[in-house]
Amino acid sequence: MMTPMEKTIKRLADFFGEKGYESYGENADVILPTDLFLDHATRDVRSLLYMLADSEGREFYLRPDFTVPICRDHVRALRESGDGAARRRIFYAGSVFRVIAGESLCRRKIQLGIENFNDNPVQTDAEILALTEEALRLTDAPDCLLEMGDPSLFDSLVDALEMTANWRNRLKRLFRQSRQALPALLRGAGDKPRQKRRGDNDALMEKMRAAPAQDAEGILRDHLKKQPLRHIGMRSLAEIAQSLRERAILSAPALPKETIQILNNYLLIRAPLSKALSRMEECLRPAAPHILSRQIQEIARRMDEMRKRGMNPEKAHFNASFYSGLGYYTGFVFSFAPKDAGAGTGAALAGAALAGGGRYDGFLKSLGAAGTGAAGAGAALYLTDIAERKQTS
Amino acid sequence: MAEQILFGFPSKGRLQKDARAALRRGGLSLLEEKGRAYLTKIAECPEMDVILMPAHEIALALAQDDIHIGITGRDILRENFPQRRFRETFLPFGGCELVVAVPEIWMDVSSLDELMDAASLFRKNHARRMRAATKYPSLARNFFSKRGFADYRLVESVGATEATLTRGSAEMIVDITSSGQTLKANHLKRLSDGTILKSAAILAAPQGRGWSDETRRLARRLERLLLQALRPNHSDRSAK
Repeated sequence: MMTPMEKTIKRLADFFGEKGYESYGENADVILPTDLFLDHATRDVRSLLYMLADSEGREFYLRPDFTVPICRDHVRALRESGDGAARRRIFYAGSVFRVIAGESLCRRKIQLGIENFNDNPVQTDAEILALTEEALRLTDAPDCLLEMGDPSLFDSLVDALEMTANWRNRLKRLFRQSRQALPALLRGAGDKPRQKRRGDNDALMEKMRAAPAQDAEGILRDHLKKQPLRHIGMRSLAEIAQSLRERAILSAPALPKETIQILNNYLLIRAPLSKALSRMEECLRPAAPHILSRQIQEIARRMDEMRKRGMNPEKAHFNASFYSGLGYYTGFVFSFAPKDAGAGTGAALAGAALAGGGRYDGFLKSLGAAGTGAAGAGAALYLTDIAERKQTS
Repeated sequence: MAEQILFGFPSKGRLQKDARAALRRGGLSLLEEKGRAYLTKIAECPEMDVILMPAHEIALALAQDDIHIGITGRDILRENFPQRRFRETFLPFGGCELVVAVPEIWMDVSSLDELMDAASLFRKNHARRMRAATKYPSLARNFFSKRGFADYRLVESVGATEATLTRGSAEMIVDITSSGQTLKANHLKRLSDGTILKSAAILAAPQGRGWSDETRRLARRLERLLLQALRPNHSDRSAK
């Protein structure tokens, strides 16, 4: 006899099979090197990863999803056997492992999903959205709200606004890093001067701020002549000076009020798709008309493609501050969360979402894919959460 | 019949000195063991054997229900038996904190957030991860992982952890400190938000599921008696 979970998996496997998705079987690795996550997983997410150590102290993560191992295999296949050999549409189902917040226990959950490595982003995104919505219906999950976001839009906005490179990097990083970090940074960004760190030396920081990068080490050496500290450890004075200088520049009141205003306005956009589009244009037109028009057009085209597949984009919400799960999503991201679970408020991240996914071209690139090989998007249904949800309702 | 109650008592170092002094102040007299004997008695508690052993072994013996009462460090219990629950009461000595410490010369790093930035730069510059030396690998790993820090490698230290940096075998340490003087003497500073655990000496007793009711009652009575002596100004409250 099949369990309800097995029945659901069978039904969905048949469904995705009909749509041309090949089963990945048992091919996805369970134990993954931590390196794979260092540059991608956000800090919020890393704390959900379950770490193991072997007898030599090397550390590994149990897979938190299937996307990471499947992408790694995909890039490897492209490199070793060329473009023709790689599979374009993949279906998977199996266990993933997450640490439950507040406990150090590891929980095994069933995820089922698809990866699509085709090089026509707008159509692929819409295909994945439509299939996820339909698959979710096949699981008898409660009514869900579709919420979308796009971290690359935020990046483009930051690139278009006037600011130092340090600020750019920090804003982009924080957008993906944790939900509290960016608003907190923006709150303090216009103050002058920003609050002092314990033990900061004002004169030194002032000098660092004004100096070109190549002078930083000299300035630090001069300072240490007056206030000696023993140099121990392998981190060089040059490294320390470089990082100290960056910190000095960052702590300067560098962001103009108008820039902060634009960023805040943008991050607050959360509305049904077409309304969000017009608010976005309104907010971005004065700041970055050229760069943004392309990306806004892409959202409009994606909406057309959704309609072609029988979806109603007006029922979907766009949330500008939505970043998703693992930081490897570089483009469009989405989640389906039950309507009664505070959907539309970033519920995806609070763990209320029952399905979610997005585009991860940048992740493929960082794994070594190039050109048309660096294109991929996927989605997963959180079957354990769906089953638990059904039980409680 | 109740078994002989066994009390694990620290056999060396600062903890031993402090525990002996506390007993004496509380009016209990630990009989002087002859030579190198490890078994002795407290004159006022003839029904109890006092076993002198290192704090680590006391923790292990408690976890295995081999002794009925013991004095050890909270840091040692939490590192080695994070899931086990004992009846624990803080004692007014042996206070220390388990902290993350980095070289004082790292003027750019004073918080965990800044350590994470430095660690990711370090990995790019040196093509390897920063190493953290510690005798508390599981508490350290847990702390870092809850805060989303993964850009490091733990190296277990056997001797003086503070010395690993000058030897070049680690970039930072996770270690216990009380006054902070040892850190300072080794040119280290603690991070503002890098306190992993507040510790002190504790009197601990296992649940003792396998013991007879009579043994458990006797052990409980002696435990209370010891507590009255060891922390004279406290009511009978248990540590969290």
